[in-house]
Formats: sequence, C-alpha cells, structure tokens
Amino acid sequence: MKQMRPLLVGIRRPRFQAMKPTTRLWMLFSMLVHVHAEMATELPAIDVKPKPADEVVQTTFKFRNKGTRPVKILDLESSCSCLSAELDKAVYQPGEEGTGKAEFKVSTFVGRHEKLITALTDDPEQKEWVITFILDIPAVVEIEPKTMQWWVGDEPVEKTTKVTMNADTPMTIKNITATRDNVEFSWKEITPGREYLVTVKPKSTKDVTLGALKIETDSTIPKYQRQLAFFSIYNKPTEATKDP
Amino acid sequence: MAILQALILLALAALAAFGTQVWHPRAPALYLKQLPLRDDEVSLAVIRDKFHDDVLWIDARSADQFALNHMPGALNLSEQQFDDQLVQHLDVLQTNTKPVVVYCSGQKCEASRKVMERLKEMGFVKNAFVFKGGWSVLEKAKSE
Repeated sequence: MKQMRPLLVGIRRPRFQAMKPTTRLWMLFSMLVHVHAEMATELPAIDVKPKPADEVVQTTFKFRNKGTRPVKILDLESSCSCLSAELDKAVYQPGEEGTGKAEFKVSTFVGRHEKLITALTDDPEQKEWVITFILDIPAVVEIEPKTMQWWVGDEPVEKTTKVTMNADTPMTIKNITATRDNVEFSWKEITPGREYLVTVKPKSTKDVTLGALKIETDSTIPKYQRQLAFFSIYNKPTEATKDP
Repeated sequence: MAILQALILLALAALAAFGTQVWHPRAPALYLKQLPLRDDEVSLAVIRDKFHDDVLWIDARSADQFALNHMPGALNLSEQQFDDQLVQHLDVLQTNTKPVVVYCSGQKCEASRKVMERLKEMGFVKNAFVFKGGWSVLEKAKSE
C-alpha cells in the first residue's frame, strides 16, 4: 500500500475509504490508465508538395506529448530511404510541444505516396508513434502504360504507350532510342507539345527480352529531359513459380 | 457448488496445459516471437532450405546505403531511382533464373515490397519475394 500512496494524492481519504471495494479498485485502475503517453502531430498527416524542379524538399511539423508522462524517443525508422526525419530533442514532458524536421528526396517519384516515420519510444503503452507524410509530386511527364508486355511465344503485335506532357509550357519528344535491337518503334504527335503516341513491335517473341525506350524531351528541367518506358517479353508465370 | 466444479475443471485444464508445455516434445511456444511469413515473404531459413542460398538479391535501399555495404552480388534498385537503376540491370534480369529476393533497411521499411511488386507488375521477374526483417537482419546474420 505504501507504493500506491503517491497515486492517492488529491483524494479525500474519508470519502475514498467510504467507497465500495469495487469502486475503489475501478478508481485506482482509471488513475493508472490515465497515466499514459500520447505523442501526436497537430494534423493526422503532414502534406509535402514538391515543385516539379525540386530535387529535395524539407518540411517542419509540430507535435505534442498529450499524455501524462514524459516520453523518450529511442529511434526513428523510415518506411522509405527517400524520407528522413529528426526531432528537436529526445525527451518530451507531458504537454510539451516539439518540432520535427523531415527531408524528402524527390528524385523520380511522381504521384501521391504515403510514407511513414516510426518513432520508437520508451513508453510501453505507445511503443511506436507513427508520423504519416503524404507526398504529392506532380507528374510532369506521364507515360501510360509504363511497360508494354508480351509473353514468350505471343503474336508479336504492335502495342502503344501514351506520353503526356503536363508541364506549364509545352514539351516535345526530341528522340527515342531502344536498349534492344529486338523491337521496332515509332512515335507521333497527337496534341502538339502535350500528347504523343509511341508504338512498339517486337521483331520476335521467341526469347525473353527486357528492354527500355529512352525518350528524350526538350524540357528545361534536367530530370525530365530523359524519360524511360519499358518493354518485356517474358515467360508466362505458372502456379508452380508463385510460392517459395 | 457450481463454482467449485468450475474451479476444479479449470484447475484440471491448467494442470493438463502445464504438463503439455513441460513434457510434450513439440510443445508450442508460450508466446509468439515473430509474426509468420506472408506468402510473398522469405526468411534466411527459407532461402537456405528452399533456395539453397542461390538467389538474386535486390537491395531496395538508397545508393548511399548500398555503397556502404550490401549482400554479395546484389543489385541496387531503390524506389526513388527505380527507372534509372533498372535500365542498368536489364541484362542481369533478362538472363536471371534464380529466385529474386528484395530487401530494404529493416522491419519498418516498405521499399522492398514496393520494388518487388513493381518488378512483378512490369513482368520483369516471376519468382520474387520480400526478405522479412531487411538489412538489419542480414547484417546481424553476417556478423554471427
């Protein structure tokens, strides 16, 4: 009972002792449960919106220890090597606000991605505090489909992929080269500076062939000057190859 | 009386469970140490027993991390440099006949699964798996 004494601070003894044993137990349990950690960011997810030319984008975010005990951050783990984060200190007192910094390497990412940073804490009730980042990267050049596929032995029919330029200013395809000799290809403009149709036809589908089309554009942003579309002629998967 | 009977039954059940745990040659663990592997995941034991350690490793970590250390013969194919790195590995993937095992940095990273799924969607691999635990497990195993 001596160990429990600190928890009883603030409770009027006579009233507490007058309670039924079950009520006393429930009250003590509630108090114990109330002592908890709750690290939380201000918003459910942190939006990161790089501009088309950005290679690296940094953001700061606020969070708070909404719990009733201090929390020590033991480690930070990222779901992607493209995202790293650091917090301004290691221990956060109850009610204390903290600031975090995150850095995202944009590279060739496009579209909307959810990436997570997991903070490992010393609190047994919140061992892991997950910080969610929503990355929204504009697709300046869209290639759909990204890969044209044939199975080995298929009829070597023509397949097409559409290249769409979404930049503020129009972009054109300057040249296309293939990494394999086994395909013939051509391209045509559908909407000047905006839409192109690339046609690919294998000379043969007898052998496995994995290759790429290197599409050169006149973009002023270096990373959009070369885009890649892929093609594959591959063995059709069988059930036997699916499980280890 | 009913409570007494229930207690006796409970005690007998507990005794039987205790006996099983102590004496049974294949008694299950009292608690789960590790989550079971998913269909598309492999562990070192699976790689050793099923694939005889003959796999093509793909390292889905960043180029910096890959440069520091990686599995022997591994190809570096990260999410953020996927296209550019994939072009460099087309020859290897085209002639590869081994199971492909993709790893990233650790338990919390998702890059290995994303890279594996992307390669499968593209039709560039057919027999590909995610290595559970990632580089942290591989590094530990290498040092043991």
